[in-house]
Amino acid sequence: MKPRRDSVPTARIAAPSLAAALADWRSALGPQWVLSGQAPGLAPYHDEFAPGPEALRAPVAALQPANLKQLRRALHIARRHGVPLWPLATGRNLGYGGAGARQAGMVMLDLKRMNRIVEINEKLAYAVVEPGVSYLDLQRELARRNSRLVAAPPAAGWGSVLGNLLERGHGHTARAEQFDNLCGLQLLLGNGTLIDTGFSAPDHGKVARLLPWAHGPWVDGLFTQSNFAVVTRLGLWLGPAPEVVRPYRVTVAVEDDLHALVEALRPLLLAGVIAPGGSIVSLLGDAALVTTRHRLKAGDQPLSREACARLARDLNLGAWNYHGAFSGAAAVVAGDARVLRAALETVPGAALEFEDRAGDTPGFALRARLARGVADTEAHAVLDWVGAGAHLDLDTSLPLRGDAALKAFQAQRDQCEAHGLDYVAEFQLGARDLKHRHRLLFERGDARAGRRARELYQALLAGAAQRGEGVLRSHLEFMDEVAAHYAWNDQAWLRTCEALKDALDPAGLLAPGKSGVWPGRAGRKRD
Amino acid sequence: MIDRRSFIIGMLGAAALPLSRARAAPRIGVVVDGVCGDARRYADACGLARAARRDAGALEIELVALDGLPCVGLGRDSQYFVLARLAAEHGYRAVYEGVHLYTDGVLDHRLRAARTALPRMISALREAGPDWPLVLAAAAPRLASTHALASAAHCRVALAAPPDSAGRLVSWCLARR
Repeated sequence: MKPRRDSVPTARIAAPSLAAALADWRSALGPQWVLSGQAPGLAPYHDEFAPGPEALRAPVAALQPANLKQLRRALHIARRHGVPLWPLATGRNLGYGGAGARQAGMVMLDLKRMNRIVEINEKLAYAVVEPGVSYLDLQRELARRNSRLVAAPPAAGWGSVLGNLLERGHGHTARAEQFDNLCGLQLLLGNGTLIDTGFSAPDHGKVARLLPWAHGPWVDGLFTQSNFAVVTRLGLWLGPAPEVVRPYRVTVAVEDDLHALVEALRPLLLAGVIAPGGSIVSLLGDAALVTTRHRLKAGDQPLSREACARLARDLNLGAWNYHGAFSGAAAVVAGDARVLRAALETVPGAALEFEDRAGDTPGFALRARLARGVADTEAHAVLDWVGAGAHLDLDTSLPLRGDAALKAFQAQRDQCEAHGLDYVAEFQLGARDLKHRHRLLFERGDARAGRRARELYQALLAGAAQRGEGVLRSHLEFMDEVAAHYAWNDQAWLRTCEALKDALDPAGLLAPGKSGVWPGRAGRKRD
Repeated sequence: MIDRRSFIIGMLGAAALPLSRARAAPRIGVVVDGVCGDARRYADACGLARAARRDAGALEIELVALDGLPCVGLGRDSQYFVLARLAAEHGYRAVYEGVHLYTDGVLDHRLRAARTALPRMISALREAGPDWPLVLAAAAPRLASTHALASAAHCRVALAAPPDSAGRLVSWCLARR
């Protein structure tokens, strides 16, 4: 069975309905906050890294409410005229579709102006933010308050805090798994109901944000990577800045020694000696931060194995580069470093280095800042690898085992070579899984390169499914394909999501097709 | 070898301008890729010899500090990609963009700016050879007073890439309009 897929992914909004809705939105929000037609302000609402012009999916309008009151009115108008909306926090989720929507002709609901940091609680280490607050904003506010708290920003810190948590992103501090930091949501359902989850409603003010759940079902997960509601506010746990953060890297020179490295790290992760949040980065994942294919005269083919070996020598990088950080009390950190060094004795050629020796090697400074909770934009430097670069990102989850990692790497590297692209990826360490984060780099505006990247993406999806790996997060373009892989028991998972969608957003207004979940009114059908 | 990413950030120095224009020098921010030779020459030509080096995360904060002043720069594409989008949120838009690409002993300059700004720049770039970053620095005040990416022009100059070149660089001017 396959999910429904539009042959031409265009929202079907009747012109009179759209015109009437636009008039009402202008009256409700102010005309300058409703963009439509040829308005220049509408230009940013597309996928800047679209793998081809056909994937641009231009919208017909964008709404920019300033607050919850305006948002409720905007949604009420959408409901009255039957016009679907695509909510955006800041639209900087660039490898996954950015400020684009699943369909062309959509009305974008841009929440960037809802950018208040509602609360920072220094004693109990949490914050409450609106959708438009970026990690850079939060960091600036924490600094202004001389706070001892830090967030766990993802590699590119200019995006929305709320957006990153809702997409179940990944940080690089000891609190790396973003979903674990979530402590209560404020939700505006498609049917207009406003709810606060957990203890975050005003009637539980004393314990709000202190526990993720309350009495009865715990539903927050339903509203991540989903289209059941607009999330208008989110609580997140922060952490106190540790007494010591000691970043390190471990290099191995031979690709196949990824197996031994993962085997050595697993017991330490399970025992809590090292924290999730570190990443085992491929050679080009680090090299691409500081050099380019053009400089290496790589031509039109993937960099050869011989050229990769030379590059590793020149840049003082390994075939794999595990970046991590010890954090906590100084005495504990010193002990943990000794345990890691002993564990690495089983890994051929593994070299453990700290900031004093490796601080100037590619990627180290960036990872060290992230491990300290510093929001940054340096990660975008990998785009230069291919000139004016773009990337499609694919995140898969596999067991925290050396054989699984090696198999996934070898398969994906071979697929990359077959499609003429370089393998640029990393394995992020989870508590019990590895997240294989594959970044398909190609030149923006090059239709042939975009087509190659798109074909490779589909091949990688199929390969991951064959190996029994799970896709965690995908680009807008491929959400139906990914959803189709969750097919067990006559697609019971997808049917349940669709039932929830129809119950919570009966008019099917919010983000139709997000994560492969289409509303009933879109004419859902399977063949 | 290009090393880790950093930026040289400061204000266009009057020393970079001819004496006749220095007294009335407009206040213009400069953001330069700190690790590439051509960009460092541009920074020197802009009078940033003693300016601060910052990590990438500081870009937005520096933009806020510019408080509406125009901003010019030379660097790698990813730097401009991020900066232009951050700047757009502070009301800036591009009034000049240039791409400078070394390929097989030729440096290709492709510029977009107001029609009036381009002929003089193209002519100077043709003559400048390896000093092309100085041409861009000298043009900064003029570019900062233009209004749109209305026109395009290009030229090719026989010139091998210097050893520490990024290969492809972009130059820009962002202004509030």
